[in-house]
Amino acid sequence: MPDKVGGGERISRLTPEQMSKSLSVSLDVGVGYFLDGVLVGDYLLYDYAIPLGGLDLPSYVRKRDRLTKPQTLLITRQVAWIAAVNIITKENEIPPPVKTLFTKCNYLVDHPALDDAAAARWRDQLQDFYLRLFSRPATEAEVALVTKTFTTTYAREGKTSSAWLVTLFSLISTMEAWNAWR
Amino acid sequence: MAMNFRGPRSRRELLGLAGGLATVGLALGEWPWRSVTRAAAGAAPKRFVTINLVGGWCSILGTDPVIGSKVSSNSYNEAYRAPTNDLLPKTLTAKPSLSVGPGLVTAESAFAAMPTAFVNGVYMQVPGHEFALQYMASGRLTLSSSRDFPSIAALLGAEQKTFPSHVVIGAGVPLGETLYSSPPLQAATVDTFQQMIGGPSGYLFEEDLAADADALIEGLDAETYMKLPKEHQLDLKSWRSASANVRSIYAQKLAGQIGLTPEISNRYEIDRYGGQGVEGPERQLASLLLLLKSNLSPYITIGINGSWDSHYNHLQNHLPYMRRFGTALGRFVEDIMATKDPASPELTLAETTTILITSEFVRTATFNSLGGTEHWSSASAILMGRGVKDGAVIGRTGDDHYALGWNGSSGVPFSETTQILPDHLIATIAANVGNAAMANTISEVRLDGLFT
Repeated sequence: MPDKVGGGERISRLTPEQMSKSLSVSLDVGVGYFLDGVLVGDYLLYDYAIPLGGLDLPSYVRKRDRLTKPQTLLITRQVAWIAAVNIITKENEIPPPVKTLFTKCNYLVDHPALDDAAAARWRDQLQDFYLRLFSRPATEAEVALVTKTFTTTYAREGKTSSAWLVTLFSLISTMEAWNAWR
Repeated sequence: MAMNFRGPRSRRELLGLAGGLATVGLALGEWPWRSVTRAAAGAAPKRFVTINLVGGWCSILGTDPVIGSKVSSNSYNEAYRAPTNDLLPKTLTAKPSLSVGPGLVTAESAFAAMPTAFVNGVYMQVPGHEFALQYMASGRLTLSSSRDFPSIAALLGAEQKTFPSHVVIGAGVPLGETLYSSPPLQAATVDTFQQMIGGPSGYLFEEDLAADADALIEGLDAETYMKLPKEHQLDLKSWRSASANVRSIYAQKLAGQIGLTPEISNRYEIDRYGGQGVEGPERQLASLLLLLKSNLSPYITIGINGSWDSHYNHLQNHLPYMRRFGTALGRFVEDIMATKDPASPELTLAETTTILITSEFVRTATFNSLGGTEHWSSASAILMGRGVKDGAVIGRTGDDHYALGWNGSSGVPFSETTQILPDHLIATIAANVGNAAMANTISEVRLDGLFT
């Protein structure tokens, strides 16, 4: 049996609550919902509990489906998409001196093909996202893959925001973002 | 300050939020239709829809009105015993065996048009929301861990062994033993469901951007996978195979089939009741129609949340909400009667679909100090459509509103041998929509006269 269910598994897919925490802490994407100013729940749990964890009602959390099914991935992509849009939208709204996530590069200008200095800043920004999401720097191969996609998207769209949207959506969609192993 | 994850919920809202980041490459309505589910060659599909009125509906306003000897019973609130014109029950002109309370008068056209049966007086031992929901959906009662058994729709879907086995919009449903084999394709709202099966390119991304992202995800995953030890690679096998399936689902472009059009929004008066983002009866039933037409799955569960659990101001909250439900149900029935089944075009959706309208329990016949009602120890249901015996009324409540026993044709004193339980209702449905073996895992008792 390829995947282990229950304790002792080598690889565990994150629960909706763990992913909520990760998005909140790493990327400042809030997932809570409030009633009268009081935090009462978690939208990942509320909206996507079954496909993410095989959890049919929030009060019954011990029974989770840890096998990855198409339903699971449909939701991970959905979550990644909304998180990426939130990040980009927020960056667009915050004035440059107080950017919270894009602190390493000029978000609207820098891209790998602009010049060496811009490419270095862009790369630092990518490494910052890797550290936030995966607690490790990107490898050369990964940087090369992202650079290629970013450059292609930017060349076609003419906007760094579109290229960052693709990048962030992709990073949050990867198997590494949703699974933990030792 | 953390951003609100749920903020950009609708496609319209996201379009506004993302502004110039991306543009919509295709209009949803232009996408080609392609079904996932195929009926066996020559066989008409047996569709089964559950409409859950989540919170506990009032049977007195619905299928079990205060008529006959109940009118003189002090067990019922004065408002029911001496009703104003607004609260009068009605016997359906086209089907004199069916009487409805003032909440379902608006559904008269639906009941007249389709085979309809009422079930009342189903004994509900545990009128607490989650226990009772589990029990009414699955026909099996458990108090120790209330999700142990699957809903009837989950069972039917699991037996079919196709993807998706079961579509759930709205309230959670018990999955039990189908949890690992056949989880439903589920989302809290139709909007999120549409986004989910559409994927980024079906929602807001241009197709070029989605293709860029897909290639990047695949490349990064391959890079990660390659460096993992062999046993870890095995652990992630299901992730990789699911990735390929997701590409296939996106490629089918099904999201366009369940997107509300202006015509449907107008017909169901969705904007009048709060717009697309509100999961009231109009939005949910309009979406149910689109899901059926899309042929995504023959088994669909829709949850309608809202004003059912009326612990205060019952008549001010529950009654108008039930009337809205009845009106929307009338439109829905008209529409499925006029719509060919996509898997069997010689039949309409009304002819291929069995509909169960139910709720976890019904409500007290008297009002509390806040003018509200509490949970009551019985349940009611409506069966409509394919196979249902038209005009049947199974089960009774007594003049004290408690569930009576049932001898197959009339109410009798309640006892362990005469009681109607959710087990019996669900097993009867399972036997008629599914098969006897499946039904017998729930109960061997059948409610005679509910199906033809």
